[in-house]
Amino acid sequence: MTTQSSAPHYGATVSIPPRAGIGLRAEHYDEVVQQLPDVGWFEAHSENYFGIAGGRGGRPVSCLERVREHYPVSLHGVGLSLGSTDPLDQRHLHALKTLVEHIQPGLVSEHISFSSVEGRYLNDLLPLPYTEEALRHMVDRVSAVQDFLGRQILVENVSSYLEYTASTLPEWEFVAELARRAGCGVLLDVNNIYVNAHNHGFNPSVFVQAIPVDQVQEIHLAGHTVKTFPEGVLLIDTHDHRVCDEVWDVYREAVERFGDVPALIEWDRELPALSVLVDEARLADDIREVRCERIA
Amino acid sequence: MSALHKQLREQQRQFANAVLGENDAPMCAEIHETPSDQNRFIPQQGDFTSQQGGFTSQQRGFTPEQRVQIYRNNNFLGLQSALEAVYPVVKKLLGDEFFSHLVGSYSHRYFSFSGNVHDYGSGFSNFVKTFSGLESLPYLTDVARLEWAYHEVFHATESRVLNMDALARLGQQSADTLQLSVSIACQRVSSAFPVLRIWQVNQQTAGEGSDSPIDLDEGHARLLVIRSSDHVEIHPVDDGVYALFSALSRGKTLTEACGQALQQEPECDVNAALHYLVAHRMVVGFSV
Repeated sequence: MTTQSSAPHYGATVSIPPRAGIGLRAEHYDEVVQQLPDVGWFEAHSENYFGIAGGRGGRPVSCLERVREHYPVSLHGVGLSLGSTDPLDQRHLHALKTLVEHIQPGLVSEHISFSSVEGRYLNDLLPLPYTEEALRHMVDRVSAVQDFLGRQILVENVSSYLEYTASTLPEWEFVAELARRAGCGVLLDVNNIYVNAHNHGFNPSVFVQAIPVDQVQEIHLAGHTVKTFPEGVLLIDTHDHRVCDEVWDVYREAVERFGDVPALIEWDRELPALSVLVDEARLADDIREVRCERIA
Repeated sequence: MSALHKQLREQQRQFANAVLGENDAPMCAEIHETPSDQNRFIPQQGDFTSQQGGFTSQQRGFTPEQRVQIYRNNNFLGLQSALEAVYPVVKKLLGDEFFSHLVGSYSHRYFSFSGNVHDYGSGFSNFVKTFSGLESLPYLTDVARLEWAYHEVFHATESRVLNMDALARLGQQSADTLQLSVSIACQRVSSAFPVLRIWQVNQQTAGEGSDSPIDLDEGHARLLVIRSSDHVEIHPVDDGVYALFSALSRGKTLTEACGQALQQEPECDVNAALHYLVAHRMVVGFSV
């Protein structure tokens, strides 16, 4: 059970339920396995389970296997550099495919961004210019990844702190059109929508309402940081706070529009106690349930 | 692809160069602060006003350089937290401020070439060795090597047990060419300093006695770092065991490796040493 090669496969993929899940972080491995907290599912950052130097995953994978025995799991990539004009990193893709085949996740997601240029990587998700050229490129890349993995992926909208003068499409049109052309799903990050709405001056509703209902298969929720400068305020997507009221409002609107979609609490820095994440997930569930009861 | 995505490639190159601190100037021609009104696409959509929802234009007075600076910070903080996770003892020995300074220099000099941030930092111990201002901590580079070995082993899958029955079935004639393969989940670290003690007393969980001074002359360390069940174990071993493992990992035959073990430690019980390596899954396979 502790080695990847000898571990059993988990049979049929267990789909992600329309409940709130939380991100799986190394600091919580033991607690999660011992306490089995009442959350719907876990999301794991794919690269944490790749291993390094040919080591194939190690202790993180054995923890993920145990979590997977008890919960549906989604795999969320942060380093594939999907939007880069560099060739897709075949080693990275193979590692992802191996992990996907092993863990049988309910969902696999990546970002609408790039991280690498001429082989050099930035530890960040850099936005693309929203042009027809970039859109065609992303469609090709998403299709290539989906073909390689033999399954659909979701693509997530990212936070950004600048826009390209070359952009000819609004971000929401780019996202919706990418999903339509590539046949992928959308992972709608409502915190990123809120952050961008503030930083670039648009109404978050415009974004939410522009995404076709059937495209959204997962929603991300996170906290951000409000940075005040002499010139004004910028919001930075830091994943180190509770979700703020304004982002919950965007979530309410998203739930209203997209219905019973799984939501995820992301928290990456200044990681709090596991109970705080579970509590945030409960808040997300409450919002979704209120909506569903009303509809029923 | 190159012809198809020429503009996109150039846009990405300029963005990355600006973030990584190269060719700042041309980047400003391509990536602007939130677009000015004449070429802004959003007003043409007709479903947006900048006053709606409390989003006024006041937050849009940033220069492109200021906005790029946020990406520089993000990139740096990401790499810093990656290195902090791998090198907590180095950080503790140096203090937050100096560690941050060290990371700044390292990340400026060594780019990441992988989309897996756990790959980043393999050259940190060598960098530490030559970094000015660290001469008073001669053991620091070995502590960093131990922490990287720990990191590699943490991310390595636990080894299977060597098939001793198959090994026993080999005839005596194979003895001279027999090679044993070492586990990828086992790394070796040697140092002229007591780095295991230094590592132990600087753990966050270190309890009583962790304040007691360490005599740097108390002896060298020969360490094998191995995945075991849910943990990473650091085994201090005798010179003979260490020499045996080192020779096997360099591809020496068992006969040669035993010779080197005895050379390092004439009293070494090579049989016991070999059993030790097998019992702890440090040796996992063989070929003749």
